[in-house]
Amino acid sequence: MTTPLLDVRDLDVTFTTPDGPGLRAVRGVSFTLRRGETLAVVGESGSGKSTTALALLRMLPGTGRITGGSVRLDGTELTTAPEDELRAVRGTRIGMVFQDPMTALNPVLTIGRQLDEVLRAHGGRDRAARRARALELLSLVGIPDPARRVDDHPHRFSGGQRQRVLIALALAGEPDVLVADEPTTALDATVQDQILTLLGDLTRTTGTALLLITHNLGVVARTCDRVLVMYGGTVVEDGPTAEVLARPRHPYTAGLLAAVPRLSTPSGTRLTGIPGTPPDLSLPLAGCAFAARCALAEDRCRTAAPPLTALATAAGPVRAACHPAAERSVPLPPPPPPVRAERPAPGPVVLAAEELRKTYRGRGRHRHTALDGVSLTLRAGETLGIVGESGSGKSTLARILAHADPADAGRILLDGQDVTRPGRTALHAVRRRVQMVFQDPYASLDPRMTAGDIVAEPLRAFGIGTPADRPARVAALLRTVGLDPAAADRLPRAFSGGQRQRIGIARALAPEPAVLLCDEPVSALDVSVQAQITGLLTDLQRDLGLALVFIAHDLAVVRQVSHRIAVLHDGRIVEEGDADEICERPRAAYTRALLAAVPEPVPAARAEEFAA
Amino acid sequence: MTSTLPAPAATGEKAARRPRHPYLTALATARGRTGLALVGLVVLAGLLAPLLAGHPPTDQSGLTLAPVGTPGHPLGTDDLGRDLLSRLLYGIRADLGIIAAAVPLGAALGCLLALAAAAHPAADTAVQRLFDLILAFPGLILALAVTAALGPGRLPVVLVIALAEIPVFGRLLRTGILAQRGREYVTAARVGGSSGRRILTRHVLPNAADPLVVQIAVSLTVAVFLEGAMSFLGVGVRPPEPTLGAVLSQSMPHLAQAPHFAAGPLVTVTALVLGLSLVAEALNREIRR
Amino acid sequence: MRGLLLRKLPSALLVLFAASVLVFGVLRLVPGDPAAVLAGPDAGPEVLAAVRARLGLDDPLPVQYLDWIGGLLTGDLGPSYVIGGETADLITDGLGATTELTLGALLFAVLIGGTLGILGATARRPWTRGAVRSLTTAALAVPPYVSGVLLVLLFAVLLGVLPPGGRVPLLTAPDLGVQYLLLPALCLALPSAAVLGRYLEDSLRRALAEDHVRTATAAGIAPRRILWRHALPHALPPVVTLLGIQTGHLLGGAVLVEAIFAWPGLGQLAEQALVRRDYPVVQDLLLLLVAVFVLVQLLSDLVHARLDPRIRWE
Repeated sequence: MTTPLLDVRDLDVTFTTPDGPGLRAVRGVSFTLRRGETLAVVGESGSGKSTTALALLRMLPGTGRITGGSVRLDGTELTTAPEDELRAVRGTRIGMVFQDPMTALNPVLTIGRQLDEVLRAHGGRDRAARRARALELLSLVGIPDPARRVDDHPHRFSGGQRQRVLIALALAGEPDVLVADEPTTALDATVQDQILTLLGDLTRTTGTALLLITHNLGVVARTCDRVLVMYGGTVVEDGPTAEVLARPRHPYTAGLLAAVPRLSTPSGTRLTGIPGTPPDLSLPLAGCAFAARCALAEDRCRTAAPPLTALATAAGPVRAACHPAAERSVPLPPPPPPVRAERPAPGPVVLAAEELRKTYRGRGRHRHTALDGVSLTLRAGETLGIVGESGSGKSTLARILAHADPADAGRILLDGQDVTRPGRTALHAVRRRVQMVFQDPYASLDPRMTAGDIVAEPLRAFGIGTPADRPARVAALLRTVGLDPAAADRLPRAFSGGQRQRIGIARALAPEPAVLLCDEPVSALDVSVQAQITGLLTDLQRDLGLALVFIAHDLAVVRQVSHRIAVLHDGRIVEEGDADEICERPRAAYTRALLAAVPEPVPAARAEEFAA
Repeated sequence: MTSTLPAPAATGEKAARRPRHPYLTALATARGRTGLALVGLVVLAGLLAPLLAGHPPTDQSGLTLAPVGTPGHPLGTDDLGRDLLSRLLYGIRADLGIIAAAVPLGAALGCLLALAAAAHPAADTAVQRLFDLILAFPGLILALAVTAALGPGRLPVVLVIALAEIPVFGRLLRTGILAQRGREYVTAARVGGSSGRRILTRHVLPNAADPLVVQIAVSLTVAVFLEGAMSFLGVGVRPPEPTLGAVLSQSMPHLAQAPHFAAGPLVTVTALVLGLSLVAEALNREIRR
Repeated sequence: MRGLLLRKLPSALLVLFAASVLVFGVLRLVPGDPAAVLAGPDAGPEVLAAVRARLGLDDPLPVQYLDWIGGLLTGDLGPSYVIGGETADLITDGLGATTELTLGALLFAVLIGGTLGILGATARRPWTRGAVRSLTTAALAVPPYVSGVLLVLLFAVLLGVLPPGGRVPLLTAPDLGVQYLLLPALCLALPSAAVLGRYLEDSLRRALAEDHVRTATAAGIAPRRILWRHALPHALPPVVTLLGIQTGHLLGGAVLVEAIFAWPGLGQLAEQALVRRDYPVVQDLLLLLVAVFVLVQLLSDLVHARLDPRIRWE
């Protein structure tokens, strides 16, 4: 076997903090990448996957430093290379694509200029030749009519097109390795699909190796031959994608796979999240990083760090860092088939909307129709899933139903009564019945109020209980959403994302509403936490008989939690019906496109083999 | 149900329960302490002026332009034989009186206008144009306009400083209110049934107030500048009453023979402004974290 | 671009109009009879009547206002009774001196502020950053009337290398003119330089932390080029707006600096007119200064839009 193109050994990255020992974000990570190979690094937030990618080119932000290990590119050590030598590697040997296409391009320079800068840095002397090459690169990444678009500024391009431009920038120096850090996370599913196809085509035709950093197992399965699973700054498992995703050896990989909602999972089932929270990276780690959350952990897992051990499998070399796995000859038992949660039959209609319209006026004569005649009904104890991509009007719909914004036309009926334009008292009464859970668990909590005060706010507003018994009510609400009541006097910043979302749910439950509007309640959360929150919402619905509107862009999550699904596109509902029916027998072309774009972590054929 | 949902210990016990107020943390830094000490020293000197000064500030002795260390006149005397220490101390006192009245007045008026602007779009337009109008007279040009109408004196100085601060505070608070209103937690409070007044007082204003606190420290320095400049131009507080700017202006013709004449107010003004700038910087750093 | 001008122009004109009414109205509110002040304490009733007639004080206020604006627009400002001579000549004489001083100060402010800002944002060594911080803090902490005194003391009194005050026009004798201009321009520029430096440092620091700088670094572009060709263009637009506002402060500060350095500009004229209560001259001067400031702000808004394509397309 020839020497690998990229050889990373025992890489350690530490962020020094002013008070404390420092944060060890990456701990002894080793992997190799061969010429033309595609490797995915997958993990949740805080797993160290992005830090590892940035460390390759010594581009760590802030106080981050490589504190150990080596990165060799064709045998050349990069961790100790002088800065100008490193600069010659950047772009020409290793190119990078970053997550957010909205901010990764310079807004005040034309894209032609930005391409030109890169080509110039790599020795392109002739101005005309650089321009010709820029046009060539733009057409390579699928920008239509590059000669016309090359002198436009980034804000004239859509998110997907900007990501294409970024890929063109990364390929300008004809690198041997393309490192893509969450390149599709900020994009809609259909656009994500196009970008992944582009990346796949480019690596195949140019022979560039791809290192893809992602949290999405579906993207991994869709794009890469080999996968590296990271947890708590360490590599827990690596091997051929098909093998690792179908027969995980490490309990974390298995847990993660079990927590991912599949498009094929029928409505009304429950996913198992991974209990607990990721390890605190500022603390020294004695044993396995996952031991505290692992159901299979033994005593030695907590005292001795398991080495990454090669396991013999039929499909190829799989390595796992797990004491029990190293001794086991068979893969972990497959997760129990998804259980259908018992759901009471939906009751009478509580909320209905008829022909809602909303138009936003921009500067000058520009108008944007966000909602164009949307009608829907919602029954007690029922979950209506609303699916749409960005700009489909789904958030506008939530805000109008919650009476946060007025509708331009149409009617809203609550318990059969018209509440479209309620008076002051009527609005107060409506709000008590209809509550909302917001997308961003960081922005939706007042940073200056304690969790207890935040949850108590609606109690006070609706005059529920006396001031004396409110603390007890708040404690009960916090317990309902699975939080420790002792956390009531902490500020929001002391909580993790999932915990904050629980506070938001407790606040929405405080006035004992009949309808809960959830606007992308899990899209900002890690997969394992997502499963916890959707589980909580399902339980609350069962226990309290809530009617839920569940708005999301992820069809798989929506199918799993919803009774019925409405597909929203350009402000209109293009299809509505039974959740399973829509996902298995879609009628509208748009729904079919949406379904086709969702990447599945385990290919369907393999999933069947799995079940067998 | 809670079995699947772990009761999470909030991340790290160091996230203290009732955390210390960020302003206190800011003022406890080296920068904040130095600033506070400098300002405190000058304020103390001004407050204790009647005790520390050996002579009334306008009493003339036979001794003109006496040097530093002259018995009875530790800082010497000015061209009219007045005790420089006494003039300095009473000058500080006069300056502090002016800026302590003018800056809060301007800040309060600016904030009131910003609140009015927040109430109604029509009021917003009117208030914005008013701010534009005041801002069209930058600093000293405003001073010229006001003194042209009212003549020199203490009141015009207060008025100029207050006027100049109105749009500064007004715009700051208006932007803050607009920014906070667009935040999701305000929508959440609205949907949660909180009244408009409660949302404003409990959510929006506390979160919009931080820049105002920094601005107060910055505005105090601007006020010291403006007072001094107006006295220097002879359109400020009327002589013979001393202010820092007036003493400095007086010393100008004698700079070559008696540099110590200017030393007292130079050092004092610099210390005061430096102190205030340090406090503003310390607050700003802490708030932005 | 034209759209932006059309959007900004009405509010600028409105502000100008309101300011002119304000200046006009406030000076009519001055206690006492302006004619009596202008004619002097010993004037008889006939002289008073003549002055009244010349100033148009017997006309209704709107007519007086229109006459005044008309005079301003045609350049016919009438004679100055107190200071003597034609008002228009007085203003033209001072305008050159003040323009010279303000532009000189603007140049200093941009040079010093730019250097400090870029140094502050890019310096790696803590002591360089500390030095830049201390310099800007010091420049902010010293009012112009203090720094002016110190500059005179150091360069004119102690070292004797530069004149303590006065002016030689730059255009007639450049070598001598520069010597006279140096101290007042520096003194006027210091606070603005510090403000600009702080702001540029902040803006640049933020630009350097942007994702697109990371993109450029990963593409192998040299740090120096990233600073000048990527981060600076991104950091500059808001700084230009600040520069417009600072120009206003330079105009205001000129009044003070001219007094310190005996610089025969509009500020000196204004101070003289104010002290001697020559109200027509004060009135003309105030409106002129405000008009220049409003114009400069309008200009800086347009330049801002020119530099930031996102505004152009809005």
